[in-house]
Amino acid sequence: MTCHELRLYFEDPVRSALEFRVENEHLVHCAECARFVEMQRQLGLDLRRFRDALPLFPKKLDANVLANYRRNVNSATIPSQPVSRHRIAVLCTTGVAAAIVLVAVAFSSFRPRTANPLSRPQRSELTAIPQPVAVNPTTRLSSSAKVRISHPAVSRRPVRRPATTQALVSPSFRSLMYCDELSCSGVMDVIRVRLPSGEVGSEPTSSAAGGTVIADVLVGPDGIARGIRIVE
Amino acid sequence: MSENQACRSDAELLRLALAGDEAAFLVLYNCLKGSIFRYAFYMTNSKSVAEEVTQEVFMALLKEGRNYRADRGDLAAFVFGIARNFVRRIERRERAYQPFPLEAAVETVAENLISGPEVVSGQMIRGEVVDRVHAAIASLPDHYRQVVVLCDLCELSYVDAACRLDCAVGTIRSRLNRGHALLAEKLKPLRSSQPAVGAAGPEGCVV
Repeated sequence: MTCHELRLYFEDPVRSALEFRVENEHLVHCAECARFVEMQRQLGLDLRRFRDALPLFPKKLDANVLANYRRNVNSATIPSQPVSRHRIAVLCTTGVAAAIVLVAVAFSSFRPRTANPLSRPQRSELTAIPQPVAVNPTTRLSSSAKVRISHPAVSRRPVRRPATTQALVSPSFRSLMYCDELSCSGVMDVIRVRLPSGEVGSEPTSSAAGGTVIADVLVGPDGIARGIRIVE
Repeated sequence: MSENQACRSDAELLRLALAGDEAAFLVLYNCLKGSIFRYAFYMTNSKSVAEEVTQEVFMALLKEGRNYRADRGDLAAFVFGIARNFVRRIERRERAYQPFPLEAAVETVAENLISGPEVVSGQMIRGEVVDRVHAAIASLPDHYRQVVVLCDLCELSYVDAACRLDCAVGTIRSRLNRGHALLAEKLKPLRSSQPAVGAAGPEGCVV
């Protein structure tokens, strides 16, 4: 180390002269420590050079930072839109979710009850207006012969009918019941029979064969005739 | 700077600055800008990067300043944390540390010193030494590098450095000692080419 470097070492604020003199005495007798101290001193010198290489603080940076600050202060006075946007997004999401829930509840509450596929289908009642039944004219019918002509919509299974169904009785049939008007709790059949004209109270016509008439008779499930209709 | 502003604490000045008090902001800025600029320069050895870091730190302080809590530490440590993150981000972005064969570069400088020191100007040598020292510091592990920069270059005390890095003073001493040893090993090829120094003479010059 030269004299000039030694003076620089004393000028180091970290190490004091007293400490240097103590180490100096040791260094005379210990080569290894001398090398170590020398290396540390050289390192300190290099670090000092690097430290002195610091450039001057740029003045333009002061203006830039101050401008940024003023811009930030001015923007801070405006309500932050991102916060309101987020709020609106949250509200919309909540509203949509609530609407979906309400629709689902309403749909489940007012959903029309579908017919149980296992339930008995609704049968058209016999008391509906009966369709005219076509009869084969070549068929000879005796008074005792019964042509069981069922209404197409008539079900073989008995169907409970309310009393109000009496109004649905076809006016073409004449009631044979003494008590009530063609009332029947079950399904009735239409039977075509040939009867003597005198028995049904009709005047014999020229077309009547042997004084007989063809009539449709409404017969209940109990076998009791409820009504009759003369078929010319 | 008014006397009232000078008497206020850093936390109070920050609160006023965030509320729009320009004078309070200028007090804080003038107090912190030098340390931030020095730290950024010594970490990157680039004046432009140091300017960018300083500007970004104060912009971030305006945005993140509300998160500062005085009970957790002083404002300088809070700002230092912001600066350190920005330096790391820039280093990752620009890849400031470029590993290079130290031995070859040092040999070139040593040859110049031996063959013709009068040809190579002192300023050039000094610039190369600075670059080599910075490269050696940049090659240190981060926890050694931070301590060397804060204590040796930024000239912080052990206590202040411990506050910045959130560690004990003894940790600072041990890391600094280890950092110096590593730097000395890295810079040994540079000094080995220098002319040998004689033993201490009667004038008291040490070897």
